[in-house]
Amino acid sequence: MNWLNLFASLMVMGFAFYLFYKVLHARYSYIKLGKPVELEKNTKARIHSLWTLVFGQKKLLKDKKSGIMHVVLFYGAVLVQLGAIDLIGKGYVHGWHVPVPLYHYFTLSQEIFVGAVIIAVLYATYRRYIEKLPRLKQTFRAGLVYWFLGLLMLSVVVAGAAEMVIFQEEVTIYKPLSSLIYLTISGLSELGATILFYVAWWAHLLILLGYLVYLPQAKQAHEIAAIVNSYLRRLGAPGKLSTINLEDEEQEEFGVGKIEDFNQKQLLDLYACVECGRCTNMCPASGTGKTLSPRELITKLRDHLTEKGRVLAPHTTPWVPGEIFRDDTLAPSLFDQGKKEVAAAASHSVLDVSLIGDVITEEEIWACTTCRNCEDQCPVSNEHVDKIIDLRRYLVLTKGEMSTEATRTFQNIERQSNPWGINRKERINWRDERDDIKVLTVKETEEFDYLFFVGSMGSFDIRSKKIAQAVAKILNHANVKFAILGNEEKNSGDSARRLGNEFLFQQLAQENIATFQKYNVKKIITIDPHAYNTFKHEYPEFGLEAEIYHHSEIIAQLIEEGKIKPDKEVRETVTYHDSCYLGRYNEVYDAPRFILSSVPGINLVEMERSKENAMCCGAGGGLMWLEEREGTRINEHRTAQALQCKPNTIASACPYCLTMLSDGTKAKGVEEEVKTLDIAEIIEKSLF
Amino acid sequence: MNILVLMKQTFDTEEKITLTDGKVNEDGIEFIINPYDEYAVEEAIKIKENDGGEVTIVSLGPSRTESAIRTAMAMGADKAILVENEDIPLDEFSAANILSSVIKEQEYDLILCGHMAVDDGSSQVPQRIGELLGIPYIGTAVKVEASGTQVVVERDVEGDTEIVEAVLPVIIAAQQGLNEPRYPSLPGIMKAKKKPLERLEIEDLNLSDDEVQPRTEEISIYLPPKKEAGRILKGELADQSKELIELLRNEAKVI
Repeated sequence: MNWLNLFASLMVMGFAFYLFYKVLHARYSYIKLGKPVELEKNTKARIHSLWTLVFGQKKLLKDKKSGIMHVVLFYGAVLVQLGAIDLIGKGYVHGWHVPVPLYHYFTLSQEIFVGAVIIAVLYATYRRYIEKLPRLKQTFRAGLVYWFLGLLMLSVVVAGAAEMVIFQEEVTIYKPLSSLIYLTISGLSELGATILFYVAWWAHLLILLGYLVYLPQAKQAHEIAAIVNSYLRRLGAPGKLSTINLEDEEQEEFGVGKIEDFNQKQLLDLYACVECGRCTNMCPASGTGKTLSPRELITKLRDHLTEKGRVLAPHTTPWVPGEIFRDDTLAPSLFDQGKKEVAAAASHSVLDVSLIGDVITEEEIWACTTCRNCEDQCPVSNEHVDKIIDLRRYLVLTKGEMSTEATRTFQNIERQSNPWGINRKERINWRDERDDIKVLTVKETEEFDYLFFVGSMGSFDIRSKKIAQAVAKILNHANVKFAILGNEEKNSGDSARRLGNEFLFQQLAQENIATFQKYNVKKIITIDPHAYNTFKHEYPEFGLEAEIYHHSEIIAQLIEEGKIKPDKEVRETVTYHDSCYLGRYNEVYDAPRFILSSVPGINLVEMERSKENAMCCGAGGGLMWLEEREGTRINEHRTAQALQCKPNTIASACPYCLTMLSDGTKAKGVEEEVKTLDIAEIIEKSLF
Repeated sequence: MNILVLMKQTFDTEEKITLTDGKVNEDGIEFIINPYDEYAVEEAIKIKENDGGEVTIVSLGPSRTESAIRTAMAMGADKAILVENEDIPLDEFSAANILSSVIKEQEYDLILCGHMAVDDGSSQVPQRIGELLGIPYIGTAVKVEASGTQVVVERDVEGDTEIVEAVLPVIIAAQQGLNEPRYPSLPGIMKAKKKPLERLEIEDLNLSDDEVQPRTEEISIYLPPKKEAGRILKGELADQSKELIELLRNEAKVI
């Protein structure tokens, strides 16, 4: 009996490990189809990521309830494997147990872990199927892991109870759960109990091995991929885009037009996804009825990679047994849908499926505001935005396919260096509209500590010019020596880059940097968080060496140093809207709030979604210049969120956000009661 | 289908016109493809993409015109002929003669062009060329369907639409709304650098002095007078009416 048991179980184990290897290797091969990628060498930072993200479960705990549940499952499921060794050993050697001192404490701790995992599984089931958390999928398949874990735990305690019958043990506090089951089966004969033990023992083994084989084929793959991804995740400034080498004359395609154009790290992301929906839950596009959903973006890319991978790497086996774990109902790729509809077209191959159009639609690609709320949420360190930009790059650079508004924006920036195409010689005019400010160009004065990079919004947009003027007034008042480039200033290129026009961006970056160098610029202040971000993190690659400041940082510093004293009362209830490029991209959360709280009379109230959870105004990623055709308006949603805390003023620190929010208050018909102001304008009120 | 596109380079529409010594100042000016000609380029490329053939740009202007030609090539035009002229004064009559003499040497099924250039706005050259070549001219096209030997054109006639059928070859002038010109792709821009551009001088063409000599004379160029701010009349309605009539008669001199 025992020899047969040993032989059969070893055969099953060997087979399961073989299958596990096959399906895992298949996915590894598909990731390898991507372009090689060079990752920054920084083992210390990478170990730190593992520590915080995997062992600390930091991102998961952003959602307290699900987070704690996951911590229990994560540690519980690891620790009960010690019990699994114990149990499997018992099946081979009668009366054996793991050789640890104080074994009864071992059994007690194991039973506690088992109990904790059972409770966590029940809570997970409740959250998914009864509470019906909107971000979670309610399909049977989505909860398959609960069955695996739940039954696995059950098998442990049933085996434990059967063992108690066999060895005629008493009910004991050291085996609380087994004892509970024991009470119901204590009448069994020794043979009956032995049979029950082996049923439970085999169930345990088969569930465990079944889970092992299932794991790489489903979202459970995150148990491996997410850990690897946390270690390999991109370090450095978040959301920094890769630079395309445009000098390479051989290159005929730019951006990503097929799945294997992504790099291997980007493809690893796909298998790391656990479909928790935290990304889509926060996405401004998904939240306002656009087709784009960051989760579906990832899962569609993943399914497409697996589909195409098995053709490109023909000796791989992505699915066993058969294709039962292949899920074409869940985030189906359009290829799957198409196959059902045009089954007749025999020549139709996955190789004919185009990534853009069939798998990811252009609507999805152009709906992203690049706000990074999805990335900030993602517990497995996935990056969504750079993938979308790579797809945009393909459309713009390789295909020249984009909306008319995007074409106009690019042409206007090319010709007049601003998105409206207003004559570039009018860039400087904003300074002449107020005679109480003194603004000189770098040509007019050699004595300046800071270059004030006004940006296209501050220079041309009627409303945003007021921000530039307020900042100039404050700088004048604090005796800060600054100068502007005047008509030599060019568009920063951020909109162009985020809309996929790397060519135009690089041109502008090089021209701006040449101008900065010509005038020996060492420090730059800007009112545009988008320019701030690209100057700070992306221009250095093109040769910029300068300190970059946003006006909120400078004003906060001036207040701290006592160089300006906002002392006039501003009796307003103010809520501050975080700009994505200042907040999530650069973690500037405190300076604007410090500024507002230093103004006497201001009652600062926070929106439900603020700081790293703040919702985008809708203008990021170049979407300022595109029509919002699908769904409802993002800026109106954000304005509604602001209005919930009943402010008199919605403050912001970005000309794009200000435009969107002021349009929002107009659309809601509250522009008379609720002002929309930049923090600089509020400080100006309090100073003069 | 072989298509010729007549294309002019003009000031960007946002540029401010300034005069130096009675001449339009070109310093520091951003030049673009004449927007109406850009519709013609786009339409020609679209037809080529559907039916095959070749798109040739034909231009007359200073050497700076090359940048506009390269843009058209980046969009998809195959080759170009530029009649370079830096400073010989021309008018619509001489320009039409020059362009026609170039066109006569080409094989073509269709000529496309903008219905006017945004700089001088004379809107004469296409009709003149049609006349000189002895082919029909169809103006202000908002839709062009060319197939084989035939073309059906929808043209904008003062807000209405007229549908014209014609047998090729014809010359068609594009109106705004014909299409949305594409943005050149990066491979397109790179390929454009290597596409053939034939440069000619007016002397290379078989034209008599009389044909090149303009028939019109430019006497002077001046900027429109500065627009003065409007005036809002105040007071009793009857007084206001009286004052208005007074002003219209004596100040504006329109009644």
